[in-house]
Amino acid sequence: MAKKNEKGRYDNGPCPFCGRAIISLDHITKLSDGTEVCRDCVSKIRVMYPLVYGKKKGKKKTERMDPIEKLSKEEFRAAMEKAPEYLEDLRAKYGRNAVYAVEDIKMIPRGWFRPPYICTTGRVIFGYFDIGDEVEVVRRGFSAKAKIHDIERENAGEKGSDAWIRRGEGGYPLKWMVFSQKDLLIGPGDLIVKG
Amino acid sequence: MSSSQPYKCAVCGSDAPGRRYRIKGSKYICRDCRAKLDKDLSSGEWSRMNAAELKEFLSDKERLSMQKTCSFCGKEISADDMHKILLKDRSVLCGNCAGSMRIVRPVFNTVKSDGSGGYEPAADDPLKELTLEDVPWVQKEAAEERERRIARYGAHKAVFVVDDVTRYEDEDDAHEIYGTAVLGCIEKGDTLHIKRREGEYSKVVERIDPLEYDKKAVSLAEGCEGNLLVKGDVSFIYPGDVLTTERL
Repeated sequence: MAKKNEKGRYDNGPCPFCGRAIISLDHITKLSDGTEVCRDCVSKIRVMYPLVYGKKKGKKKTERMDPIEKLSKEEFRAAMEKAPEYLEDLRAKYGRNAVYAVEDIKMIPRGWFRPPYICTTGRVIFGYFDIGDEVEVVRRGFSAKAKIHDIERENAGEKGSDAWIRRGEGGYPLKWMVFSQKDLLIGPGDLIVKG
Repeated sequence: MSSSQPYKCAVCGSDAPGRRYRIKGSKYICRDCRAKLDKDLSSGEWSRMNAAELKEFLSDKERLSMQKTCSFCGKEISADDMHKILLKDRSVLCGNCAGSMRIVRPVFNTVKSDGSGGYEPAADDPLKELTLEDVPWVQKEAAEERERRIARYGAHKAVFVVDDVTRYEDEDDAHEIYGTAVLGCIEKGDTLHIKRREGEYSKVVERIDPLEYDKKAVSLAEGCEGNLLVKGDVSFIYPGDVLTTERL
């Protein structure tokens, strides 16, 4: 449980980059030199340093491996300056407003005459995806329109507000992005794009 | 104690028979004090405050409503000025004087306990820690910061930095752009522009929800955080983007 500070508030003081409160109920990103950073500043450079969940050598439990936590305060500041240019490069490379890369899929049948659930896992390279968004499935020489049925962000049961976030955001892996429509072909390596 | 027995109101000290309302510290307040508190606080909020906090709140409120002119600029404070503030030395600043310093002393938005195991937003205003003597140098600091931001973003009526974009649940095809007005004041109907490599995009602000306690505000003042409601596709807006209104 989060602890109150001396003012009876649940925050760890101001963020050194924007001055806003670092809310202690969220997952707090700590840089390599111990500097704590607020969630909003982290989200501004997340596309450059995608979050990964994986198992460390010799360990069974899936853990959060955040490359941002390896940065120093100066490196973080420099990344914030570079992030807009990096995003423009991604937009130019893909020619879209939001891109999600499918890594794996699982089909869940729903019975007679009902299209199966196509559950994809993967990561959002950049941009936002929400439930109900009209997207395009892109594969070499093929593209099809689809509508997002459900989304949930990967969280590995960690503390804070990453849990139960029902949307995709640039740099974050997704536990699932679900589609449910007839004759939709999606496979690992495909891109789901928006805009 | 039954409700018909006489008791002493913990706030005004009067012997008030009849209906009483419990506050923190197992004390009670009278109907008149409750009526005063209900104008600004919800019953959940005042019932979690102790007698000393309630007394301070009501005395601050009285001081704010009594003073008709700004202690710094001397101009008349209008009755509907929602941004007027009471300084540490109990002088009163009008909304204009307070707003001119907000760029360097933004409201600190945080979280507190809601008293039932949950959490609710809380705001601490650093301007309330100032005295009247501090105002000139903080205003000078604010003017220097404004010049720095104009040099960085250009001379626009307003500049808004994006933190998050979310779909607005209650309306189809509407999105909320959350962020901070880093320069100038954003109003309903303003057109926000964003330059991307391939060209410029524009969006009209349909509604504004400032994050601070002034829920009735129709604009997002300089240095304040809030949500801007826009309609249509906003997939070209990302965290960290700078949205600008027309050039001055």
